[in-house]
Order: sequence, then structure tokens, then C-alpha cells
Amino acid sequence: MRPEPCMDWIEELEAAADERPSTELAAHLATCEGCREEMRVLRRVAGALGALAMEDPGMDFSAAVVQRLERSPSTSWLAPAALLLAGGAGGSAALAAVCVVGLWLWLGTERIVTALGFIAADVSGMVSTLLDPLPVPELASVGIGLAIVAAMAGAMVALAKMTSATRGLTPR
Amino acid sequence: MAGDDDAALVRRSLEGDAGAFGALVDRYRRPVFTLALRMLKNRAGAEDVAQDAFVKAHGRLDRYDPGRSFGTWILTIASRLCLDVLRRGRWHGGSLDDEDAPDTGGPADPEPGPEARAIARDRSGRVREAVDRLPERQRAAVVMRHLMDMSYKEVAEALDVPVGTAKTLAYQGRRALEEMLPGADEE
Ligand SMILES: [Zn+2]
Repeated sequence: MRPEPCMDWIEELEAAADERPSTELAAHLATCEGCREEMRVLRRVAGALGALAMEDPGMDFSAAVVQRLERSPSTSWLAPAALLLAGGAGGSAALAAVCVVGLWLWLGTERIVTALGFIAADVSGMVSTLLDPLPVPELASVGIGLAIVAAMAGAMVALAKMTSATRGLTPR
Repeated sequence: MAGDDDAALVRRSLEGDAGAFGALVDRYRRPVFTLALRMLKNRAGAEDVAQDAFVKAHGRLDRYDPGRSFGTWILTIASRLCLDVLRRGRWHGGSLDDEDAPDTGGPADPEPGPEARAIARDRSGRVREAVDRLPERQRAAVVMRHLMDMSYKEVAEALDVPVGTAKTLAYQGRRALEEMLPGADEE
């Protein structure tokens, strides 16, 4: 059975494999057979491991990595098509938002509310005509029409808020 | 680009500079590939896993701590991928047994091929063969500690073991190597 080294001294033993041991390590080595044996092993093996060369994967390795990154969906900055699509969608959304805010600022809240009232009446009429063959009460048609217009107004308000937040504008 | 430090290259990669990440790959492809080759003992598998390591690192660049060495970080990723491949016995390109490159074969191969014999003639080939015969975790610890100059804390992290275990694995590996390499320092 070969004597075992003290694990607490391992790093100092490794450092001392190719240089003079510190005074403390030298004192420890004088009394510890396991560490002396490990020092001997380290001097032989560390030298041999020094002959172990770094291997080269070949020049096309880096190109292969870049190619794999281009194929990977997470790297949109490497995929111009994805970038173009994202840019197009973002641009369209921004344009729509600017139109909504512009309309709001131009017409004013009061006129928008009046217009929405007219639209609500028309949509209710449309819903009522569509649902005519079905046994749906008149009040339900009005409710559905109002719900549709409320949803449209909600979407407009949300868009306006998003745009004003990004542009520092507050609709009057 | 060659003079840029790793943190600067990572920062530029995060800003969308593909060339900066390419420079990091060029800088670390050899240690990452060497670690994978020593761990997997299969050239095709090592190349595939080394590429995987860079692709994975790229996807996690925002989590890289610039206070740490990029080399150690990428080697840790590669080491974990290798351990995973060793557990499964195959990488997505094939089985680890389908060796087609002039490597030194599996553990304690009694009849190495002609190419392996040619490699084994020189000293570095003999050392490589001995390292390849170590059990996988001892092999990983010895390569990371003595070839990649990683601290025991970093080796422990890469192998997902306590620091004391990393020290023991490296020490056991060295003792086994010493027995396989008689007179290694006497040439
Ligand atoms: Zn001791």
C-alpha cells in the first residue's frame, strides 16, 4: 500500500514540483511520507503531462460553429431574413400606433366619443340584422354591438398609451 | 481583434458583432477540442461536442460573468457536455464506439491498430495513451488541472463535485499515470 498525501498540501506540492518548496512545506515533507511520495509522483507525471500537446480541430472548426449559429433560431442577429421580418412587423405596429395617436390629437376626445357612439349604434344595427333569423332579443344585439365597440376603443387607448410612453406624449 | 480581451469580445458579441464571437472561437477552439478529445477519445464526437459547447456558450453569453475567465467558463460547459455524452454512450452524430480517426482506442485495448502503434512510439503518444486509459472522471480532472491549468475549484465546478473530490480524482489519476508511464521523466 502506497502512503497517501495530505490533501490540504496538494496545491503546494504541485507548485513545488518544479520549484523549491517553501520552508513550511519542506518541514512538512521531512515528517510526512505520503507527501514525499506524492512529490516524487508529481515530478515524474507533471513532466510527462507537459509533453501532451493541445490538439487542433482544424481550420474549418470556427466556420462550422458560425454556420451552426446561423442555423440556430436564437441568434436572430445572424439571420438577416429574421431581422428584416421583425423590423417590418415592428415598423407596421409603430405606424399604426402613430396614426391612432395622431387621429386622437387631431379630433379630440369629445368628438372621438361621439363618433364611437354612432359606430356603436351602426354595429348594433348590423348585429341585429345578422341575428334576425335567430331567436335573439333586440337588447342582446345592442349589447354585442356595444361590446365590439368597447373592445375597439380599448385597443385604441392601449395603443395610444404605448405610443405616448415611448415618445413622451400625453393625449390631451 | 487579436489584442482584445475576452470580456470586450463577449460585450461586442452581445451587441451583435458576429466577428467578435468568431475571435473567441478561434482563441479557445484548441483547448476546448483537446479537452473533448481527451474525455471522449473520439475525434468526430469531440469536434461535435466542442462545437456544441460554443453554440451553447453563445446562447448564454448574457449570463457570462466578466470577472471570470472565458476559457474556464467554456471549458466547464464543454466538460459537462462531455460527461453527458459519456453517460449516454453517444453524441447526436453517432456512437462513441465508432472511432474512425487515429486515436489510441478505448481503455486497456490489448491490440491497438497500426496507427495507434505509430502514435504510441513517441513520448507524447505514450502519455496520451496512458491518459486515455484513466477512468473518465480521473482523466477529466488530470487534463483540466495539468493541461488546462484550471484551479481545483474550477475543476470541481466543471465536474459538479466538491473541491476535495476534484483533488482526490486528480491525485488518483496521477498515481495511475505514474504506474502506466515507467521512467517517464528519464528520457
Ligand atoms: Zn503530508
